[in-house]
Amino acid sequence: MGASLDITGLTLRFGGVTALDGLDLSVASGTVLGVAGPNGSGKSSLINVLTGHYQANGKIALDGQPIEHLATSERARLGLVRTFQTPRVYRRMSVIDNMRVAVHATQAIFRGRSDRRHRDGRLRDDLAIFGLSHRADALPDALTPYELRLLELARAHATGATVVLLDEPSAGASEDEAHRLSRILIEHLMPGRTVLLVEHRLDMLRALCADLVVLRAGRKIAFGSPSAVLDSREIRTCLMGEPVDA
Amino acid sequence: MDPYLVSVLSNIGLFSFLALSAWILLLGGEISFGQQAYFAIGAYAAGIASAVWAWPFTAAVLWGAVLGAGIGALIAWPAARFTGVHYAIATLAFAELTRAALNVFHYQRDVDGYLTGPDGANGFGDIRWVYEAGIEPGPYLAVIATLLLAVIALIGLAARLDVMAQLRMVGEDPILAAMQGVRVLRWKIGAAAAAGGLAGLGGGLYAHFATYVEPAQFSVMTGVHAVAYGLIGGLGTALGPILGVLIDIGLLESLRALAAYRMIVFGGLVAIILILRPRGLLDETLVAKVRAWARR
Amino acid sequence: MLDLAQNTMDGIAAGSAYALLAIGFTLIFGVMRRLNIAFGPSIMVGVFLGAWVNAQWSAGLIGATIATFAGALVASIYVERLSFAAIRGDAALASMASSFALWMQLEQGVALAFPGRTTAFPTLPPLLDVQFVGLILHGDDILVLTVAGIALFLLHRLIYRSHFGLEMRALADSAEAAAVSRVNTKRVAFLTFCLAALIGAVAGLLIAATDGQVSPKFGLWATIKGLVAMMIGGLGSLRGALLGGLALGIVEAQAQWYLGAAAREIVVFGLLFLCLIALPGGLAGMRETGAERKL
Repeated sequence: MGASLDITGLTLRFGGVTALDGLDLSVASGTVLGVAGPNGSGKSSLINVLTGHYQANGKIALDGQPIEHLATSERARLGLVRTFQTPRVYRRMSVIDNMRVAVHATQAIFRGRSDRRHRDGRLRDDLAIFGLSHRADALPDALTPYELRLLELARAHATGATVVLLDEPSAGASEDEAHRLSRILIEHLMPGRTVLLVEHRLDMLRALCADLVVLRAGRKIAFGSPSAVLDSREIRTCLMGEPVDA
Repeated sequence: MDPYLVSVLSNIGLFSFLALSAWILLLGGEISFGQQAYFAIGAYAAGIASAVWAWPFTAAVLWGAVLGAGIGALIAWPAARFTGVHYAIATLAFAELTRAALNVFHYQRDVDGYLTGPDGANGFGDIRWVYEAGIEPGPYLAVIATLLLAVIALIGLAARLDVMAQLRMVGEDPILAAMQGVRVLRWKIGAAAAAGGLAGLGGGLYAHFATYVEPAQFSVMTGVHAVAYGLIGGLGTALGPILGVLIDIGLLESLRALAAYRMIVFGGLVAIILILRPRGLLDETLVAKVRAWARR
Repeated sequence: MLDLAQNTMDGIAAGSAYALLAIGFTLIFGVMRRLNIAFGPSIMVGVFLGAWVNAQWSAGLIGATIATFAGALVASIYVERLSFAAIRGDAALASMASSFALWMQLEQGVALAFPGRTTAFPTLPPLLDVQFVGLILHGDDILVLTVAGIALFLLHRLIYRSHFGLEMRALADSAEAAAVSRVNTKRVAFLTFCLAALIGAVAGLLIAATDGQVSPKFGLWATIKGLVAMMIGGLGSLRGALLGGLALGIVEAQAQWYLGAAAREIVVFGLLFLCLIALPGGLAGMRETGAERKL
């Protein structure tokens, strides 16, 4: 598991606005790269370009294979999976059905009854890992925002993704929830996977990432270990809008 | 059986094909005002095959279904890029185009001394294969019912293999579906082909049931009815659209006292149902509840 | 060449009524993001009420006009309450299907109240045809163009010069943004529905008075013409609706003259289908230039 992700010269323009400006990044197989930056710095655009939702100029390689010409669905089939800032699930399907269809979208549909039972058992195990087993048959409308976030993570885990793009997993979470989320990510989602973590919370970036890149106006303004990068007063000012003590 | 009852039941069965056709597209997230076009194509193709070319019934009806599926896929190829109102109007445009073309479509040949075949706006009569073969309306109803059950069984199988679930993914959130690896465009084209095939099959059966078809029967009103059936009956299961047909043709047709006010009653009923249950009587929530209950 | 010019002129007169229908659809779609396919039948209720008032009290064109406006307004409010106001949230399909259900009610109601195939409607006051360089401008057409022009002028003033117009444009732009700017979205949506009904009633009036009669098929006819003109022009654009209506009128007139009535329908719907594929934004629309990829 875990594939390397290499980005070269990525440029994205909306009319006159440049969202990404010749960005180079590379995430080694099985590592976690944190991405930080003020609002509008291009973090979400980066994820949207990587999944193929936006068309940009530049090169994207997954395990050395170019994927920039591939459609969104084909990239997902290679193991590239994302989560959303506001959790995105099928609202008319139960939690377990959301898990099922996510796993199914990339797998052959013809298989036997025992296979199905085996798979359903595994999906319920995955839900249990993420603390959702009691919610398996509920509809998403009945879940709390935090539980919806867990569902997104469980879904990414169950699909056997090799590269996971996390778009602000702590958005809307309380202090306590953010801590629990960090632990779940470290214990269950990150092992063996390549992860791009877009995040606002500096404590999460410190705790989870090997490397941290800071974006501003679609460009890389800092790169290095989280502690080194966040040591800079200038960077903290850029991220928090005002000088803070870290 | 009472001939009137047989005729009502046959109509319910035949329009169920059309309703299922529109329902499949609704699952894929699109509303089509044009499924009557494939019903017409199936009716004309099967009618010409059996009445003019003297093909056997089975081959003729199959040919109608295949043609419906083929043209459905062909039209979907450009149309699947549209969503919402664009899709609805594009299907409407195609259906009206088909009807207008059938109005000027003349293809009459001498069959046993009679001119047989479509005669433009005058319609297409003498589709008599079923009657000449001596099949009574009762047994023909059995043919319709068997094929309809086969279709429902097929949809049930597709649901077990999670085919329907993938279609629902595309319908509910195509962007999320693509990001999970679903090839959205292929599903849309596939759904349009299946829907066209189903409507074509129903049309072929209808032509042999009615023995006479004319372009005016395949108006927008027919197509919008087909969509309404799924929306009243519910989008949660294949039984939804059939329930819709039952309510319209079954309930209201049989209540003859209401005959003069049928549209007013049916229209009011639909409006009320849609306020209370925007996804129909048998909607996804109800089906999910029933499933969870059955699993216990 | 003379034929071509004459057909274009006739087409513009017919097209101005189509344009009004298309504008009615566009107004409703703009603020609701939903299609009201009962728009044509609502206008039909008005036109039949006009015909009835005229037959009952020989009220003439003025009485029929008032009755047409009133009938279209009442029918539209009925549709708005049941199919749009009552169905909230993410349910565009439900609203569209519900408006179709009410269409059936309106159509059968009219058919029950007026059993004949057609009903007489007071005609426009006779006006002399005008001739110049071999072209004939019919008196009826001059009246139709004048009335449609006045209606468009007033509508333009209302949308771009009044406070209500501002609220309506805000709502069409973004329901959320309008709501936080303290626009009463429900009230504006309701009033827009009424405005669309009045615009549609002008179109219905002009068509019925030109023909001197109305039939229960008017509802379907008006819905189809309005939808087609709106889509040719570009969904959601008022200028597009105007252009689309005129274009539809001209194309119909030319096809009718050169190819005959049966081919006219084929040409119109064939053109609509091609137009949707080749020009998704319609005559007025610009092609999407964003980087967002089509699925």
